[in-house]
Amino acid sequence: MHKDNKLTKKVKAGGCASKMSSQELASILSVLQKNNSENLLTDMKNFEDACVYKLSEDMAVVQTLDFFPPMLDDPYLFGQIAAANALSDIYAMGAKPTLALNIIGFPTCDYTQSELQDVLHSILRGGADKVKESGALLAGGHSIQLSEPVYGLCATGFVHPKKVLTNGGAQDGDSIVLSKPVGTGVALLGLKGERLLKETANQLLNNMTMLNASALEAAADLEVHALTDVTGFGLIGHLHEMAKASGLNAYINRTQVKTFDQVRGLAREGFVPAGSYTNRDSYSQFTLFDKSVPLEDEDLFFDPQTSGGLLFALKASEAETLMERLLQKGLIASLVGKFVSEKEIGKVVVQ
Amino acid sequence: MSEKNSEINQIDLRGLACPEPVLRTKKILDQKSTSPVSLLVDTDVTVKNLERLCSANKAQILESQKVNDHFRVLIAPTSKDSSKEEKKDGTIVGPVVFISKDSFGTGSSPMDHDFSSHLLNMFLQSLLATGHQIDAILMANSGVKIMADSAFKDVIAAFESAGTKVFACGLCVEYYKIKEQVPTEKITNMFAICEYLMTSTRVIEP
Repeated sequence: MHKDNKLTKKVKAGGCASKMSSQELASILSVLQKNNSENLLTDMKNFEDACVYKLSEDMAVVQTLDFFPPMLDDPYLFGQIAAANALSDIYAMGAKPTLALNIIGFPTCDYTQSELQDVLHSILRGGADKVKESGALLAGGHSIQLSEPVYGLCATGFVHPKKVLTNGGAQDGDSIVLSKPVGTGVALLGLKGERLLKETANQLLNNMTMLNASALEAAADLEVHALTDVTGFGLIGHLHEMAKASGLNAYINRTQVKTFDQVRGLAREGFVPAGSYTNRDSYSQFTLFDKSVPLEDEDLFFDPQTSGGLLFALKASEAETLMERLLQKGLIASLVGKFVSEKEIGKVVVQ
Repeated sequence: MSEKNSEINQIDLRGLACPEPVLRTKKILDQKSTSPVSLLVDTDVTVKNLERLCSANKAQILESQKVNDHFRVLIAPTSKDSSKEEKKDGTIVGPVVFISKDSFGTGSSPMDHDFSSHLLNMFLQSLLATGHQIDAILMANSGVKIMADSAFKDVIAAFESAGTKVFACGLCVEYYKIKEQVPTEKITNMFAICEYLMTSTRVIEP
């Protein structure tokens, strides 16, 4: 492939950094009429990861759609990351994926026939490999010509209606566990600027291509009160959504939050993606930073995550068990803080 | 790079995708020149990233303004004395103590360990008594063992109440099997320790 025909060449914001701001989204979605089916178990206003529809007393279907432009130039890795990110929305509802459909848009005219075959095959192979790993079936898809490449999945899973996990439901005093390190946005800029050590790049790619299946599995017999995954809105944004939906406030202990190697230094040097600033604009009204919190930690906690980890709310004692299991599996998990019941709700306090 | 006689250097970084403007500005700062440079950039995101870059490199933004559809940022790559204890947005921390073994100094034989450990304790107490602010105590290798040593309990607690953060390397804590005695919020990793060492104004190694 020509060097000037890199996958990310036409991309303004790749990965979850391409997400619309939550403020924009809220105002756009407000014109849609609210659905009033008692079988629809999720509410759009809570910004859930996927929708859940009750089919019977013991079966609910979970559906999600997620796609984005490439955040790196390797098409196979991009396919894997996009698929892992889309499937994560199913896990984030406490379900397992069963079916997946490809959705792909590509600037076909910019490539020769053989280049196009190579690139598209690699993206789709990356996605298919992750779908296979998840145990789901790839059953079809849809492709269009587009000026900017995009890829993702529409995924379907099933879960017992009583076992659905949403943003709401966290309880006063619950601990918060995150199954992957934060900082993909900053690290990806470091990768683009050739500033990442090989070890850091491996750490980043391993985590972004990693399914959240094993993190969910680690909590299978625990009483998880609320669950989501950390993606475009960053750690603070998703914690705010959880806190708001649960009627609580979230407290982050900043020294406990594990980040990718190098990203604190990179953030300090200005490797901060636009999405982090957008998230700051959207969420700073709900966020309180202790004076001791350095700017790079603020930037990292607002940093949009591509294929980020699962964010669990569960009792402190259960959280310890979960942490032990996640660390045992080799995941870079953190006990990021706790939920507290206070007068106001939806605040995120970083200490 | 366009250069006009006796005028400020102007560098056009427009049309470059992130993080390219930051990388190029870093190169300018690394040249250690002291004359101001005017940069043209596309977005306010780049302006904010340049603010971070300058703050991390002790350079200064003299002026930043929107001109039509772009931004002009005037930076002064000043080379201030880096040993100066200056806290900017919390990005630079004050002195830290790095304890990489459970004894004081070097060269003590295993037989003298008790004395050496006592010296380390005295050192920490004296350091505390000087009243100088210590931002963090970082422990690695056998240094983490003082977290489980009752003789050190009081002095560590006193440092903490004076605002010193205490961190022990997690791997080391596990190796020396003292996980139970070290609260989880004090467990850190080697990377975080390195970050502290690199950004602190002074590292004290007993």
